[in-house]
Amino acid sequence: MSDEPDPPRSFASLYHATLDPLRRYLTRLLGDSAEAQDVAHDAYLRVYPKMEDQTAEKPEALLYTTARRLAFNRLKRRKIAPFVPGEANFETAASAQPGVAQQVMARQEFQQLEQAIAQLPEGCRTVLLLRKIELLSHQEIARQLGIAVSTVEKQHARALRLLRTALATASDPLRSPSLPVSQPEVSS
Amino acid sequence: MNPNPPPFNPAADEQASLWAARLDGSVLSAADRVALDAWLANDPTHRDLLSQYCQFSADLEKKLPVLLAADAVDFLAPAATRHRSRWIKWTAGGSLAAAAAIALTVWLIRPQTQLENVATPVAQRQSLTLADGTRIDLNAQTNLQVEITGKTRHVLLASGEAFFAVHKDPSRPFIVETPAGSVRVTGTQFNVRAESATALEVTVIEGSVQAHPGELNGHASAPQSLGAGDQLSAGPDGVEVRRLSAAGLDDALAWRQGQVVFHGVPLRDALARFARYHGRGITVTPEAAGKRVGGRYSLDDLDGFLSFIEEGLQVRVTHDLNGTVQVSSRATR
Repeated sequence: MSDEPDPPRSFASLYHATLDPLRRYLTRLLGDSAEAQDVAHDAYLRVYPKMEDQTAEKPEALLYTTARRLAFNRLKRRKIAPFVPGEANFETAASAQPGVAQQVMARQEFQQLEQAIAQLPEGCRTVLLLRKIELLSHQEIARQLGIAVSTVEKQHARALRLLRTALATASDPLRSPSLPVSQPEVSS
Repeated sequence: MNPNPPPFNPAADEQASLWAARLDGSVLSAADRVALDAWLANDPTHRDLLSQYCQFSADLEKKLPVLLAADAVDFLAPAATRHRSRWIKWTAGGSLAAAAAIALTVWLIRPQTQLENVATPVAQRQSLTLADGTRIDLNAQTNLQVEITGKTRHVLLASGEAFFAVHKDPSRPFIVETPAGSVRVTGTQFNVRAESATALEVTVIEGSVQAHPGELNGHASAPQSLGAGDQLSAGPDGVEVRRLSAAGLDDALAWRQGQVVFHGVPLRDALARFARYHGRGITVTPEAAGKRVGGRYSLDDLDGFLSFIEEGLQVRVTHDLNGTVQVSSRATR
């Protein structure tokens, strides 16, 4: 009776109220129900923290915006699919059934990623997170930060390079393919 | 595994990362496209390099929200306070947030926090072990959401059936919610079946649980304490608790071995179990529905069960073109 409104359950109720219509919507957009399912999950994952903090005023609208942006990113990536080599496994790596070993590996990977992001220069990090978390386009980011689109692109690219180098070094310090700095000294 | 990796080329690497960024977040003009094609044609290694960056970028889109959801991005706070961006607020509350995904398990950075959605398809069962050590076996067509934090352990069994071997932790009660009521335990083994919004069946194998059926016919029902061997059935007709024998308990859990045991069950209910497991439409005429069926059957072998009842119960089984099965009484000779 005198309980707090009902926030704790609201994610679950949003989830159940929206899962089917959202999947149908995404299936229409993407033309692929498995991919729609995947995008729906990603969207829920992104909306959940905002609901927890009650920073989402209209969770359902936010959910659909997020899902639509994610779907557009997918469609975009599909267009550039020729760049993905035959044995490319980022789809499977990201969404396949997680075995226990994979989960443990995933956890280490996440810790490395967390550290690598912490070490990014501030500008890079801001741009990267606006792009990857808020799903803003480079143009939107440029407007929000008051900088040129080309600067946003360069910061984004730099973030990708720094993270990739950091992660390659962390997981395989000896044979990282793209280690631009500190070549091991050759002892004669 | 490229046997002969090209030497690191900082200029190509920088260019590849820039193209990957632009492909991801910008709209390329026709001139950009031409420039990109030229760059790709310039050196055969460029395409591979770009492809690696594109994959990496796509991966980040997946992984970063998980990091955020785990509340692991505290490092954002000092750096970005000036830009009061929205994401800072996500972390400001200190709430342990989490991830939602069906059949996608996300183990979060904080070992004690886990939020996951699991759904089993038709005719398949699945087992999982939660971060707290609890084991859950899911029957086919079951959908559940797990939320474990440092303080609580919640499972929402939206539909279906699951067996729980709950790891003992008196400080964190383990609560299973279903549309038709909830079950609260600290550490025990029990089975919950919630195949419709108004029916709940809880079977306790070990330990004790508090079952709280939801409102039935508009009447709130009282919580029930159940001990080992008790089975609570709550439905539109009310709440009933009975004590099962060891054999009865085995029967209730037979689904974990892919089997189902009936003791003089109306054919309607028996067929409903198969229909649910296989996600098939099965209709049964009223005369046939009341016939009683008994025995142990393989849940996977729907055809076997159908031919058994066809023979043993004098019913006719017909398959529609759309995959539904119709069971009707056979005209008596």
